[in-house]
Amino acid sequence: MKLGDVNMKNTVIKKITKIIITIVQVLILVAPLLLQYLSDKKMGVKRYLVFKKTMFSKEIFTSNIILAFKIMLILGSIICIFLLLNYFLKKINNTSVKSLLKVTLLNMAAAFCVFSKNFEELLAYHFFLVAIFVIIVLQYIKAVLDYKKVNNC
Amino acid sequence: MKKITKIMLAALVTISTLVTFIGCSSSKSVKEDNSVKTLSTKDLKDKLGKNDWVIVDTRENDAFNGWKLDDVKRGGHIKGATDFSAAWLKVDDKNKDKRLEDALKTKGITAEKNVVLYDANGKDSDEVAKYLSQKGFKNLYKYDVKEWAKDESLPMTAYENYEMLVSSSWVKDLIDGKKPDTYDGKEFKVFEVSWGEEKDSPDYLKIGHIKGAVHINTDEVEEGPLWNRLSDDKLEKFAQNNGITTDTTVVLYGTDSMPSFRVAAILKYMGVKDVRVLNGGLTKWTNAGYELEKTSNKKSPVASFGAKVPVNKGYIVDLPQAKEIVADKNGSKLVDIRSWDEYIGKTSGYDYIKPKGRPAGAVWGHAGTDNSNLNDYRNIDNTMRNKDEIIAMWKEWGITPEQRLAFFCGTGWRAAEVLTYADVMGLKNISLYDGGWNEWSGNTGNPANPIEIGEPKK
Repeated sequence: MKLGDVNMKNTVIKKITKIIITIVQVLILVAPLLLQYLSDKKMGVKRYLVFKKTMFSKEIFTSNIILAFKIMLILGSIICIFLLLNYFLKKINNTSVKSLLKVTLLNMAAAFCVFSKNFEELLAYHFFLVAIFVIIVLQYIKAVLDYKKVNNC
Repeated sequence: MKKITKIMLAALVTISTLVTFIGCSSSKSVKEDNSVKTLSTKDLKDKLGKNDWVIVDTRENDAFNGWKLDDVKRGGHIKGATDFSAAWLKVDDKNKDKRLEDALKTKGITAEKNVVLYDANGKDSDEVAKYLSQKGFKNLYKYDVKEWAKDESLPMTAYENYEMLVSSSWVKDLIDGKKPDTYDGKEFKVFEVSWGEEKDSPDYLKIGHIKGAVHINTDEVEEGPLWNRLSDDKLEKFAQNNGITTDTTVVLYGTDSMPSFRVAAILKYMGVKDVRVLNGGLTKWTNAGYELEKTSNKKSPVASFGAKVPVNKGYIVDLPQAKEIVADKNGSKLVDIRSWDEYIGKTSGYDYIKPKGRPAGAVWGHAGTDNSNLNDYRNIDNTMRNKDEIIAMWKEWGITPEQRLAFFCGTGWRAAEVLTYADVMGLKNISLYDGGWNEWSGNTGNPANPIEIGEPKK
């Protein structure tokens, strides 16, 4: 197989991978959104969420864990902004700029949510935290894929 | 030609014979309908207490409980009578046939006995008689209970607090400005009770509500994760916000009555003197042909509840009192109002309660087939089951009316309904253990208490 063909094949695989990851990110967010919506409609869902929120607060999502997650989001935002600026200055490649812009904005949006007092009061709060964490990590993977592509060029 | 004539003649004879037989059968069945004899008051009096006779009240449950409906002079039922309401025959229930047959069996209404069906409107007995005839009952009698009620010397029984459960006609008279029986003329408020905000609750705006009724969301009186009643000062604010004082006549109802009973128990605990629940729920209202409205009615707050909450402190109890009750094995009973499977720990009954089992020392008080129904305490039309049957059900488990009884379930809804029925029946030393299995089991991280699992040893 020629090098050009190999590169094209890799590009297609990466594109498909990114599409799949994006779909997974959307689906992951649907679960807590649905739970939060249903908490106003079904008593059983609300009571289940209240119970889970109580247990999560005591067992898994301790204040230290949540603090660590908040720090991760802030650091992630700072690093992404730095890299974005770096790329703008070097003007390397549109694809990677777009990807970094997306991950930066997503990181900042996530940080804003997680720091918000109103957000903490949501019954599906912990489910949202899990979803945001997974979505951010997946977005980092996509950004890395684009970074590698740029550097391969 | 001759052959055709013969065939036609044979056919004519056959048809005539068939018609004659059919005619005879019809007239035979007409005779059977007419064989429901009317009993005199003297005859009925002689039959009371006899084992081969059963006296059956076919009226609405409200009349049986104590209300003076259909112009009877005295309310209640003939002492010793059981109930089989004509209204039950019209219920839309997927297990209707089986439930009605089970009811007949439980009440001792069997084809071998002489069955006296009584009513006050001349129609209910006929409907039940027709149903029983179809089941092969032959020894049927009917009686007009107005005659019995006229004579004060003849024994009748009304539940001590029958007025806590009201009929749809009573509520209709109330909202129409008439002064129904037992209503003292003070300010009244009607509430539709269900879970959820008004805009999200399908029962209030989508199905419609009684004219003038305001919605109460059960989250206004309780909060998680234990789902106990709110603190006393928050309950006072709830009452003020809903325009309820100790002197308000409060009428509660719902598509499902269980939330109404939950709020009723809490209001009584707080100190509201006159709390009523619509017996049988909204279906009774719509079956009576009364209208519903779909426009929202806003709450009209008042400045003061009128007393320091709680006035009836012992009506709802907490964990320390529940432990005292369990410790007092002879004088008290902690009564488990959950299904058998929940009682023996086969299931917790709830998605949000993990532990299974029961408080050690709790006795089974019956409930329903699962955590969603209370069929052991309700008739097929969701009215209150009769007192004699409830007491008999309890007796099997050593529960007697003289004891101090605290009812509990998972989070206090089913138990609140049974508490209200116990109150209707006139029992004195009764309460609701609010924390229930959710609290006792340590489900939400609070300390667990002694637990039993499995069928209790005899």
